[in-house]
Amino acid sequence: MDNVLAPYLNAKDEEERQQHLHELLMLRAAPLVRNVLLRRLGFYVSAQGINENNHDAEDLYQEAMTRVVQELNQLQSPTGTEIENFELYVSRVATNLCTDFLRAKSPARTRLKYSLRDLLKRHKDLASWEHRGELLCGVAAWRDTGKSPFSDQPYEDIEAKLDSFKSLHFADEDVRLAPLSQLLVELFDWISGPVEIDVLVRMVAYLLDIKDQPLASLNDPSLIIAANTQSSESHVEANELLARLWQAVIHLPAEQRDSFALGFKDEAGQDLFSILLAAEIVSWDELAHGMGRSLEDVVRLRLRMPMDSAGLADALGASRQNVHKWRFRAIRRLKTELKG
Amino acid sequence: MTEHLSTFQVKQLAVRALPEDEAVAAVVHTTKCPSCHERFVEELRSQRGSTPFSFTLEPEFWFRDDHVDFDLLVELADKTLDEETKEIVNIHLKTCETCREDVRSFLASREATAREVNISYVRPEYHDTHVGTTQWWQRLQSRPVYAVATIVLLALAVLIGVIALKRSGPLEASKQDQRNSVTERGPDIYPSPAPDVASSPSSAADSAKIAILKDRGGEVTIEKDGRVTGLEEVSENSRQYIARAVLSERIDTAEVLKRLSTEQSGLRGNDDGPQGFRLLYPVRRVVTEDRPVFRWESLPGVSSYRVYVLDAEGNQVGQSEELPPTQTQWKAPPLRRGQTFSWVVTAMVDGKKVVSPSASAPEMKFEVLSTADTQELSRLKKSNSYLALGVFYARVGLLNEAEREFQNLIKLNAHSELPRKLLESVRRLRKQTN
Repeated sequence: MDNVLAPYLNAKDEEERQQHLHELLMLRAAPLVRNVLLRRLGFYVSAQGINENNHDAEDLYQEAMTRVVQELNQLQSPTGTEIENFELYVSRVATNLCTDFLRAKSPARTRLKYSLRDLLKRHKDLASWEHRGELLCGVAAWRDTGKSPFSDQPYEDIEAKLDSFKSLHFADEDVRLAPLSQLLVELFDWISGPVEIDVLVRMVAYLLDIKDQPLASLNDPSLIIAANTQSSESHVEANELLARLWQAVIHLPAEQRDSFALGFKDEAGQDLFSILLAAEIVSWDELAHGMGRSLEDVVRLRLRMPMDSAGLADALGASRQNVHKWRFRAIRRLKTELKG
Repeated sequence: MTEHLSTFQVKQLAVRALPEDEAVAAVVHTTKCPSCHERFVEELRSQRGSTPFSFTLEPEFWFRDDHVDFDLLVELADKTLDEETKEIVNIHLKTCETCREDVRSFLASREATAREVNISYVRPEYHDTHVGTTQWWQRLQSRPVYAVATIVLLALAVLIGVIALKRSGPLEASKQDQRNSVTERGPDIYPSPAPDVASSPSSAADSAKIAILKDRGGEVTIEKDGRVTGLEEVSENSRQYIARAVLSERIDTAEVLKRLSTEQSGLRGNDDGPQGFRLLYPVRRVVTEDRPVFRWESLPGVSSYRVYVLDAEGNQVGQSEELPPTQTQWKAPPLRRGQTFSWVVTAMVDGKKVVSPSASAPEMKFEVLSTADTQELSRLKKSNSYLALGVFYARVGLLNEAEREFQNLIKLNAHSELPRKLLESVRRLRKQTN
């Protein structure tokens, strides 16, 4: 466990613990989160987490801080995960949020990132590697070295320099028609050192004039999903349906049962255990028995339900692909059982 | 926990806000205390409100949030996914347009960069791994034992090298020369191994005329060493392609046609919609104009059409306004030369959208002739050479045009087999790519 967390974890009382929590958040986590938002997305938030002109930035800041607080709260329980390096952990939380945000907001740039990562992996002269929690890239000869100071400058300055890069290296040809590998090599040569993948993506997107243009939807997924929904008109029907579902679930092979039950959410978004308990289909002990687990385990699992695939993979100690397969098989089997 | 749960604790337990240990203790208590359990169940019910219970077992719902990440994309492109996972990915792609475009874009990117991954663009010093060398040496400084071992190994290697050089010096030197000459040749511009057709004065003695053809502008001679005379106004690059076609008596498949005729990935899902309609032009071909006129079959009962043009990344680069049912063609905005695009037409029939190509059909790709090739074409048109134009058209994937030029060449060379063989070769390619 990182030593910076010791005062918080060893606090004598709740008041002291809150004091240390406040310090950890304000003095260590907040500056890091602000820095990551600025570097990854160009989003600025004040020390109080405010940017009245950019609510996305405020939301991301709040979300990152909330996740950090939740993790710190979990540290108090014996099953809480160890944090070896608190600052690295905070950076990862914020970086992951930025990645998710970019993916949602900027599909074209995400696709460019995928293409670049793939090319960096396949081209013998290029490489990408993890370095202190960041994904860096450059020519293969730089592998495993730290990043150049280049990416620490404000992105606006980088953009201005990219114009001169373009006129210098691609004076006689359209940079958009040049092989992508050649463009990367020229860029790395110009930067003279490794750079974070996200910075590279922004640079290449700028040079190739890649901008997001939302596609008009060509189909309507809600139509597919709305069909075949099993719903209940009355309380009695609901309980019958639930009881049949539960009986079918507990007879599934263990992995399929877990993948389905722990990831289940009804149309209102509620988890299976809460629904079963509220409908008094099962007691806590029956729930534990049906899931083949101890009461303590079931209570702990419920705190994380409904789980997404990543959460399930973590809880079951399996790969996401295996979780998908188990869930897929469970659904097929349950469909047959509930029809009968 | 022997005391009853407070109202606040019950609420926290219901919304899963209690820390783990407190939650466990609270639940253990409720299992022994009917009144606390009842309060907990009531709290759960009040939070749920009157929302009726309903759920779905449709896999599209269950996998709608399982987006295709980078690792999965790589596995898809490498074709290493097992059948079940592929089926699951297909299910997700049915409902996630973003991921569909991710997959399409990634596969297109793989295709586009397939050739360049083997071409080196870095300056020689980067091959010397100068950063790595410094670190390697620095690491040895902190490990004296390794350093000594390395020095001994290096000394041995030098000794063996000196002995070997003394024994076979001239041979090794010759091999080294060969390696250097290969390095100096630079990137190979040919999509497939070509005969060595570089003009060389020193090889003149070996030359022999292997083909003499009558062309529109005069006689064209191709020699055994690949020298082409009679087409002096044609660029050296084009002359090399002509020599290669004549020497091999065939036309190789244009890379662009391989890209455009790529079969569907099998990941676009099944479509159960109404009967579709055909897109007529451009269909998996190269177009010379940067504002092609898209044409499609009319669909009975249609109320309107709309055309979408997408680039290789899946970004929309053009969209028509709502077109009346009588209009079955539309002129695109200027498209970037040298780029691959795809296009889609949606038709509204009885309030339902019919899309062509359908979700399960291959994308309707086309490519706009690059600026360099457009300029070359304009030069070649002035050369009065059916042969040069035919080979050029075939190389850039314009097979109809190539066929026309070779037919003209046959008329001028009724007794020569070569133009016929080239024409047959083009026709075979057309069959393969259609």
